[in-house]
Amino acid sequence: MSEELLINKHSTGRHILHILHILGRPLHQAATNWWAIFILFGQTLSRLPRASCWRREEIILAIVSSGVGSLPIVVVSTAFAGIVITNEIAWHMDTALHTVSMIPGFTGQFIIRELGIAIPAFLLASKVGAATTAEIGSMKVTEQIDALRLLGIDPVTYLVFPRFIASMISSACLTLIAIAVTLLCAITMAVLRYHFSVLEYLNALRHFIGMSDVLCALVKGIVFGAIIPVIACGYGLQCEGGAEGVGTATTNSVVSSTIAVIILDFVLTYLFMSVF
Amino acid sequence: MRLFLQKLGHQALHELGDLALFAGKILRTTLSTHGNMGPVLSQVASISLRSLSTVAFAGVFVGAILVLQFNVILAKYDAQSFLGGLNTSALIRSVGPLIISFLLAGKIGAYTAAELGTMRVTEQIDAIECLGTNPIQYLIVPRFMGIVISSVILLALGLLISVTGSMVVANYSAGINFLQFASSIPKFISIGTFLGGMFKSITYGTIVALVACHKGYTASGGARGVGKAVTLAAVYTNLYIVIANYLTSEILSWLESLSHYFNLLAGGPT
Amino acid sequence: MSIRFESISKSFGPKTILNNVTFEVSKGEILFILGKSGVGKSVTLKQIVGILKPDTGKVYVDDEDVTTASQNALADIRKKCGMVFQHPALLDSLTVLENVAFGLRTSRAPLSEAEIRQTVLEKLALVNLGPDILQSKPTEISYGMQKRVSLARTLAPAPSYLLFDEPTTGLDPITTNFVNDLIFDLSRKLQVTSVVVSHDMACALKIADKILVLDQARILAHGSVAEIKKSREPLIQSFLSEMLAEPTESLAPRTEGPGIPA
Repeated sequence: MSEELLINKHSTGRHILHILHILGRPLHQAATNWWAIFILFGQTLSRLPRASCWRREEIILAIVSSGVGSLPIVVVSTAFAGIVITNEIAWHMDTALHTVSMIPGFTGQFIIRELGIAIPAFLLASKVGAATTAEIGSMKVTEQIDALRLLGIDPVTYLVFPRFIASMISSACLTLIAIAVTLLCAITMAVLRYHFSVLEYLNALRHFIGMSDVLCALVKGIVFGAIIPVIACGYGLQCEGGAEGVGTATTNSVVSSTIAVIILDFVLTYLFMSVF
Repeated sequence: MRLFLQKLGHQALHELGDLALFAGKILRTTLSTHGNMGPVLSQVASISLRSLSTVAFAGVFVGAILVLQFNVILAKYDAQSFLGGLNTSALIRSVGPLIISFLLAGKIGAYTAAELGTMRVTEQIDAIECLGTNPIQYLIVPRFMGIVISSVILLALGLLISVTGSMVVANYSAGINFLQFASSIPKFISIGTFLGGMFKSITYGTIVALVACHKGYTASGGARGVGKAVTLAAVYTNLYIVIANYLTSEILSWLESLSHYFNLLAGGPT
Repeated sequence: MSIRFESISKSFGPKTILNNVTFEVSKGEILFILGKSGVGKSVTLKQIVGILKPDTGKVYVDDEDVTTASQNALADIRKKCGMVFQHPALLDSLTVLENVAFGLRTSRAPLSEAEIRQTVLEKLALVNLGPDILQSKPTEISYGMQKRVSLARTLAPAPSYLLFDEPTTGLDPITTNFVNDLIFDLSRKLQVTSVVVSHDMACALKIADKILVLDQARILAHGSVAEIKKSREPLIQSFLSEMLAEPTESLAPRTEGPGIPA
């Protein structure tokens, strides 16, 4: 390819074409990937009403591996996060406003509105996303997916759909657990280091937080739980090229999931703000 | 229960030990070989360029999310004037280094683990060793240094984009114009803030680099092994960064109180 | 001048791969290590160059102890032993020229670019590849060509021992014959000692001087081709009878090479 373009290397037109070609290939690749994922999403959703697709053992297995398997790291991460966020907010309140009374309310709100949702989402995107893409990717390059199709088994029903349902359930649960653990550690920190009482903290929470906030958190959790497995499976099913292909697909899947979570977080935050 | 915890403890020690030994090898090789900056610089360029779009994208949106959330919360205290400073400070001090490291871990860490893992399972690393070259020097050191240096560069760029994005969103959606936004910044930010952010960035970058290189280098088992290496790299990096976040925050706040103390001693303003 | 294994034992976790294995490879000899998959043939080979270390026992290359060698001594031993891996193991980011030249760039007496290029062309010619692929990347050439390039790369530093890990696995019959003839010719012409790990019994009977059969972590048989053919061990007899059931080529041992087919 590049040899042909170098023949007329003095022509600026050729230069521009060359640059477009270099930029174009990854863009084209990205566009192809995203289109395939979009289609996969549609295919997965179309299986929702079909009772035969709801295979309980597969779904429970997927919940155990993705949800329960991620539980330790979510708990540990959110515990530390709760401690750190309290310290950070305390520092900000102290430095600029010279008052610490806002800590419980501010921290509590931030945790429920953002932190407690974002942390499990990012962890799921990287852990479950990577594991799923790696697993399905290696199945693809060792021709197991083709074997399934030849046996009359639809990969979307057999592989993607259970993970889709399981991930939404796991994500919702993990989000609630994450919020609880973060709050717990934040309260502990506030009590131990900044001399609040648990009652004060809980009062502040009751004042500022309502059911709508918890509902928003749950919805965000479910949405994130919905897109991550679809992106992961999408990259896995498109994987090709042996060991190297599996590696590339896994990397791209993690990055895409993370970006998708960030963008959706923004969109949902904006939407909820306008609605409530 | 006790057995489970014991097993967990053993695993943790094993893992940390392996990592420490690997880090030692990298350090020894870096120090003993005469500084050949060529491969390192080319890695820095490649890594920074590849991550730029991701960091820029994420930076804008993360800044936007923080602005929206902080605005809502501050409104309840009637303290919206502090939005600019709070947002910028939060970005530089904690959110910026954290998000950039997560992205770095995802894009570059996973890629490095995959690349090295593939080389390992196709025996390329053995071949390099048999042909008389030290694979740590040839493969690992440039990538390691490349990632660490890039993390600082990407932090600077990411913060710039993030703050700009925040300002724009604040202006159009929260009704805080650019001047108001900027005026509250000096209240929250000092040189220490930037140094703290950089310190965190370098620490997290080192974690990403170390874990990614280690998991890739020790991969085994064909295509499956490469996938496993990438997954392990992703998981462990996140875990260590979370713990490091806590530790670095503690260290920085301790340093801050120390500097306050010295200021007091010197009789200067607090 | 030889390779010696003394009481080597190696386990991976609960699985014992080698148990008290002792044997010797004489200079200029072609030794084939045969056995079922997973029996420890590659492990044995990798211990010669120190990529794997045995749990107990010692490995000597030219009377130097590989198991306790320092980094520098190990580097010297590796210069003497050229290893051809199961996978082509070419570095994907380098051209064929750079790959073959890889082992030449680390020598203590640095060679000029022209000398390096000359050596690369020579070695590629030995494996019947021309200068047209010099600038190609490994992903752009066929698997068979990659394996030949990988052989050229190993030959470039002119080692005195050649270690082959399943050199003909996954190759078509024509290239398989070519590689087998090449191993034989190189050993005779360059006076190189070759250790070949393989499942290919037919190939072993054709070109080996000595055959070593591993089974269940120990040496089942070690001797010349004639001795192996007369062996009473059931495993060896079943290997032999499998082959005799479908003869694909003459089993008469080679005594001299016909030269490299064009």
